[in-house]
Order: sequence, then structure tokens, then C-alpha cells
Amino acid sequence: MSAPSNVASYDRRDLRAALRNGSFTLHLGPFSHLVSGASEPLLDFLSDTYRDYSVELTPSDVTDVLLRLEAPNILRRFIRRQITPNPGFKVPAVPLPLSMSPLAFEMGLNLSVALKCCRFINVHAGVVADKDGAIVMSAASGGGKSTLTAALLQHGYRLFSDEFALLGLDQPLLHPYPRPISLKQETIPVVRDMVGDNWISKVVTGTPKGDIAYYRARASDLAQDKTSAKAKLVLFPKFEKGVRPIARQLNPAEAIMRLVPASTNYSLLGEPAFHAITGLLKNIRAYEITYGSTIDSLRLVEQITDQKLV
Amino acid sequence: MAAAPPTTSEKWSSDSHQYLAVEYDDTFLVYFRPSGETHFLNFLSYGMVHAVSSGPLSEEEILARMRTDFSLTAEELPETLVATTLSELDQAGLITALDAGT
Repeated sequence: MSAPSNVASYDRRDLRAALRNGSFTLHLGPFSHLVSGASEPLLDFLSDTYRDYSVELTPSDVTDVLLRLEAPNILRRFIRRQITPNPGFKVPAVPLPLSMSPLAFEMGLNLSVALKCCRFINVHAGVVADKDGAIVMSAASGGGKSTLTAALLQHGYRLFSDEFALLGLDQPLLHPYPRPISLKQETIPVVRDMVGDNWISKVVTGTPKGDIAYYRARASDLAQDKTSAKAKLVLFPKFEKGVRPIARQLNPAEAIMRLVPASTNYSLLGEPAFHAITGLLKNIRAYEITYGSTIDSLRLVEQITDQKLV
Repeated sequence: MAAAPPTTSEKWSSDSHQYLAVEYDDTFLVYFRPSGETHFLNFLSYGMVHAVSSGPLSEEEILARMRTDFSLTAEELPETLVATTLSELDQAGLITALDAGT
């Protein structure tokens, strides 16, 4: 077995062969992912956006995630080529044009972790952390979670995830899973201005979710993908154009009742999940923050973390 | 399934082994083992669940207990509020109606 190495260190031909024969194993955070798919747009995406991620190009018998990216039928392998994620169980995934392989890949990984992972409580949330602990940000789609996550990365935080808060069942610790940050529509130029063009993937246009791009995780975030953290704050961000910034502190019980429906496996895990999620909120504060700009959202977070808002 | 609307002859009970409760200020998060559901209860609702866990009580007895325990007047805690709350707790499965003879 070869030692894991960064995607960028491999020859493109070897990466292509590994994806075709199902020996591309991506290691990230607590999971290993065996990925297969004969798609040049996928290879382009992995070579660029996943360039610093650790992979092995040898088949593995034991992985957490098995993801095949394949044509929905034989016809669509050759004519007007399409691709669909197959995580090993039936999912209602609409076949996408081959050019949208990055979206199919990211969707497939999300489905796999959301619906198959039982080692952690998964909460749909962005998570960043600094030396004092992690901030969990749970928001509905369009709530500004990805933009706020990206903005906090420019202010001394490291990326845990833009998609999943992975909460341990034995100890209330959050575990990093720093996949690229998914940016939709109007958030793309906002984050591009913030971080620079070099960090943003090629835009995938016309997807069912509109235009999509990905903000590549930094090597420093990936280097700490095994370093878990305690939560220091739970936020429920809400972006509303033109609104005056406001923060409202929540009773921890109310915060938990908001996190529970954002979890894909809380009901499945039952009592251990109850212990873990109540442990997460122990001795920390939760706020709903409403804002109309990234600057306002950062100011609110700073005021809360500096305890200027009580 | 929820029981029929309570009658004055009914008593209510709960089994404290069936639930876990964590208090946050004046509210409680209650994990109910048989359903796997998590419930968000105010102090009064949880007070009722807790009161009937040490032995069956009628609606009148619960009403009297709650007014005493939380120093509430008849105006602050009317009978209708207790009846409605008991019905909701019953629907959630957190309390069970027993016949008067049981």
C-alpha cells in the first residue's frame, strides 16, 4: 500500500486511471472516501480544487464512503453524456450533464456523510474554529452561512466544514471535515472579492441550484483535519438585504430545538445524540444574528465573542 | 395513540425511567425513550410530568400541586390551562391516563 500524498503530487494520467478503476481514496478528517468516475471535468476539478488533499491511488477494502460517479444509463455514457452520484444506496439524484461532475461529486459526498455516517451527529452547519474553540453556524439555505464561514477564515479562524458539524458521541467535540466551501449565485463574486480569484474554482453554470463555485480549503486547514475542538458559540445567521444588524441570545434549549431538525441522524442515534447535543450547548451561548452585509455579520460575531453583547 | 379526553375520574402518571430531562433556565429539554422524540417543555409542563412520576394524580390534584409548587393563583393558572397541557402531554406520550381504580 502506498502512503497518502497530495493530489497535486500525482501525475494526471495516474489520477485518471485511479478514478477509472476505483482506486482513488481521498482521506479527509475522520473519513476515507473511495471514489470512481470516468469524467474529465471531475478530474479537472479534483486536480484544481482538491490539489492539497491527501489521496492514495491504491484500492482499499475498508472505506467510510464509497462513491461512484456514473452515467444514469448506457446511452448517456456516450451521447449527451450525463453523470449521477451513486453512494451505494438509492437517492433521488437528477442526472446532470457531464460538465457538472463537480456538483455531482460534492452532492454524492454530502449524501454519503449525511445519510450513512453514524459515528457522529451530523448537523447541517458551517463550523470554524480558533484557539478558543469552534463556532457552529446553522442556517437555512440563503442564510449567508457560506459567506460568513469564508469571511471568518480571513479573520484567524480555520475551516472545519461549510456543510457539516460533526459532533462526537462520546465527548462533545467537533471534528473537522474541511471540504471546499460551496458558493451559490451571488455569493460567488462576494467571496471572490474577499479571498482572490486563485482560491475559487471554475464556475459551474446552469445547475439546478444556479451557478456554483467552490472556495478551495487552505493547506493549513487540511493539515489540522484531525484536530477536534470544543464549541465556544452557536449561531443562527440570517442574511436579509438592508436590515439593521441585530443579535438575539437564545435559551440553549431553543438552540438545541433548532439544531435537532438540522441533523440528518439525530433521530436515528437517539439517546446518545441527546446527551451529545445537550453537552455541546453546556456553558456556551447561542445567538440568532440578522444582518444585511458581511461586514455587519463579522462585527456581530466579534461583539459576541468579545462578550460586548450579553 | 392519544387517550380520550380526560374525565374527572382519571388519574395521570408518568414513568421517570422513560425520559431524560435537562433544565435550561425555566425550560426543560425532555428526551422520551419510547418515541425517541425530544420535547421542549416550559417549567409548568415539566412540573406536571415530574409530579405524576411519583404516583398517579387526578387533574384536580395536579392543579392544586402546580399552584402550590409554583405559587400561582387561580387566575394565573386556570383549570383550562392544566387540562390543555395534560392533553398535549398525553398526545406526546409523556403522561398516561389511568382509570380511577388502577
